[in-house]
Order: sequence, then C-alpha cells, then structure tokens
Amino acid sequence: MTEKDSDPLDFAHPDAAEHLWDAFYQRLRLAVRQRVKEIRRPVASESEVALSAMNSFFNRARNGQFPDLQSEDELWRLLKTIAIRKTNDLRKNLRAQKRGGNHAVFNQAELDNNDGRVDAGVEAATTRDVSPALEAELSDLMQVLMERLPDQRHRDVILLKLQGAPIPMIAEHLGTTTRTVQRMIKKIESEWHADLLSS
Amino acid sequence: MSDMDLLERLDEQWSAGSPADLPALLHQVPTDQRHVSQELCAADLEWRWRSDESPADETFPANPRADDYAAMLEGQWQDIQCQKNIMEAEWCARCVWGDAPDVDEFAARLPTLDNWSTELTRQLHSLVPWTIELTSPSLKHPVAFGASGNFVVGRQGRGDPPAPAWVEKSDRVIIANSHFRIISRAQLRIRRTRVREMEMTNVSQTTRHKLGNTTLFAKESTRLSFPCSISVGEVNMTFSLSDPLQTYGTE
Repeated sequence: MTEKDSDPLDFAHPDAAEHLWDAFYQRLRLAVRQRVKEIRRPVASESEVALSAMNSFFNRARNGQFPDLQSEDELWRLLKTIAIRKTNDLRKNLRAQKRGGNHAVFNQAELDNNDGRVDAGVEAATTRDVSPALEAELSDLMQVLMERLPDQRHRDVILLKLQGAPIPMIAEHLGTTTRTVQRMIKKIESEWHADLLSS
Repeated sequence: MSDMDLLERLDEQWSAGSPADLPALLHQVPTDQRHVSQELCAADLEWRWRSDESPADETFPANPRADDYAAMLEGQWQDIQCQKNIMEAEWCARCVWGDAPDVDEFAARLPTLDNWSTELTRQLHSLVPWTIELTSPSLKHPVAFGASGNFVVGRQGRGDPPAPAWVEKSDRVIIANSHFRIISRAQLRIRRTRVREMEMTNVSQTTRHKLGNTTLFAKESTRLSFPCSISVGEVNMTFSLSDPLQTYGTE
C-alpha cells in the first residue's frame, strides 16, 4: 500500500491519516465520480464527497467504531459504502429543496416517520453546506462588487446589512437617516443587479 | 451644491447636537430640484423624533407631524405625492422612535390613496422586521422565516372564492406536506397593524379557527400583540420582532 512500514488498519498510529489518504483517496474519488455526475444539479464535487467520507470514517475509526476490520479490502468496501451513502443523501436533500420551493413546506412522509429522523424542506435548504469552491467563488464575487462601490460609507452600509443589522441601527452608525440608508441600499442593489446581468 | 450635499449638511448639523438650520438649507435648493426640499423636510422630521431631547421652537413642536412642514414646502404641499412623501417619513419615525401608530388610522389621513396601508406596512417591515417561527411535536428543529409584508396562511379550499379575490398579494404560507396535502384547512390573513401588533382574519368561508379559548368564525378578525402564537393544525406559529433587544416605538 505505502512505502511506510505500518499497519494500515492501525488508526491510532500518528501517520494513520496520511496512510489512509495515500491509499484510498484517489480511488474513492473515482468511485463516486459517476454517481455525483448523475445528480442533475451537482451540489458537491467527487473530491468533496470522497473527502467527507474519509473524514467520517477516520473520526469514527479513531473512536473505535470499527474493531472488526481485518483487511484493506474490507476497509475499502466500508469507505466506498460511506461515500455512496453520502451521494445518496445529497440527491435526497436536493429533492427535498425542490419540493420546498418558496413556501414553508414540511415533508409529511418524514413527519409520519416513526424512526424520529425528521427533516423539513426549508430546514434542509437553510442548513445546506456551501462547498469550499462555491464559497471561494462567492467571496471573490463579493469582493469585486464591494470594490465597485463609490466609497467606504456605501461599503459600511452593505456590510452592516449583510450582517443583519436593522436599518435604524445602520442609520445611527452612519449618522444619517433611515431614508438615506434605504436610498443607498436601493441604489447599490440596482447597480449590482445591472452589473451581474451584464457580466 | 448637490442634493446629497445638502442632505449631508443637514445630517452633520443634527449629529453635532443641535437642530439643523432647515430654512437656510431649503434656500439653497436649486429651483429645478424641488424634490430635494421634500427630502430635507423628511430627514429633519426623522431627526426631531430621534433626538433624545427633541427641541421645540417657534417653528416646530417637539415631535412634529408632516403637516408642520407644509408652510416650508409652499406650493409643493398641494401635491398629494408630496404629502405622502413627508407623511411616510413621519410614519417611519413614529414607528421606530415614537408612539407606533396604527396603520389604518394613519392611512386614513390620505383616503384617496389606494393600498397605502399595505405600502406603510411594507415600510414598517423593512425598518422593524419580524420573525415567524414554526414548531411542531414532529419537527426536529424549529423553522424560522421572515416576511416582508402581509400574507395568508393556508391553501384555498372548496367553496372559497378563487384567488386573487381573497388574497391581497401572492404572498402565502402553505402548511402542508411534501405532496401539498393540506395539514390544516385554516385560511388566515395575517396583517401587521402596528410595530408590535398584528391582525388575524379568518378568510375561510367554511372553516372556523380555534384561537385559545375563543373561536374565530368566517370573516372575523382579531388583533394580537407580539410575541404571540397561533396554531395551524399541529404546527405552532410564533410571531416576534426579529431584534427583540432593540427599543422600538411603543404605543
């Protein structure tokens, strides 16, 4: 498996994570690639799914949850199972979001579920993780949009608004009126909308 | 001097701790930008309500109304849009820093304007947002959302007139399952009437709605103060201000 002399199933070893990575990450990525592609609107890449699966497995292994693993083959089958279940969860969450739309819609089938695991469509949407790639892209986009604002005052308005500050509080912070703040926000939204449409 | 410069001058004067010299600023407004006069008056009105020690002088009372600016706006005040503009500034200032007036009483001041109360409510929501939280014994976590205007809870039932006859706007909250099977036949119009008050109307023609120890019959309304809760089937909806720590206008 690797060049190092150590038992790959010894998860207590200090190099265990690295060994696991070297041995299985690329294989796992390839194993889930087709399944991730089949999700029409991909919410994660195969790398993210593989990484998440390995993370889940490793944390549980370190806690002693898999004492009966005997071979690398068994380990591989377990990792693959975890990764496949994660892609299935992605597909299920995506379907739940589509049903939820803009209304507060509950999943009745899950409300009736006696296993006790309940997810609400809106809740699933609001707690969906943003992938690192998407987060980076959004951060870049935000930076570009912020740099186009005429001055720091406008940037302060938007930053406070994004942080959820109520308009009266923003007005007080800037030493102006709520009408001025609302006018600034409306102007910025209009310009950003035009920017995004033209790009 | 541009319109924004004049408004900034007014803000600076008020921020320095004393009333702005509104007449002097109005004198500097270019004749082709008369709308700036309205914005200066609207801003001055807000500052007077905001100030801890709202000064009363020979021109203005301590907490002015829109009409107190009529003389300063001269011929513009005859235009109903000008009156609406300054009154909306008064509405916002009184909601946030003043006596939180009732939306219907306020809208009655300009009775010829259609749907003005809806617009006033929208402005109230933008300044003092509220949060609606849904809980249920079957729900793992509460679900919270905000609404920027009035809305209707429920789905149109048999025997009710078709929308939009009974829905002012398309804003609607449906309490149903993933296949839109209705959990409750309740149809309730929720309308915010004050900073901390809402009106609930049973817009169903066929279904009564139990509210605590009372029953809301078809077409009946009741007013509830925040925070408050209503039940729709097995789901509980709790209404409260999004920022309960902020001190807003009080009735």
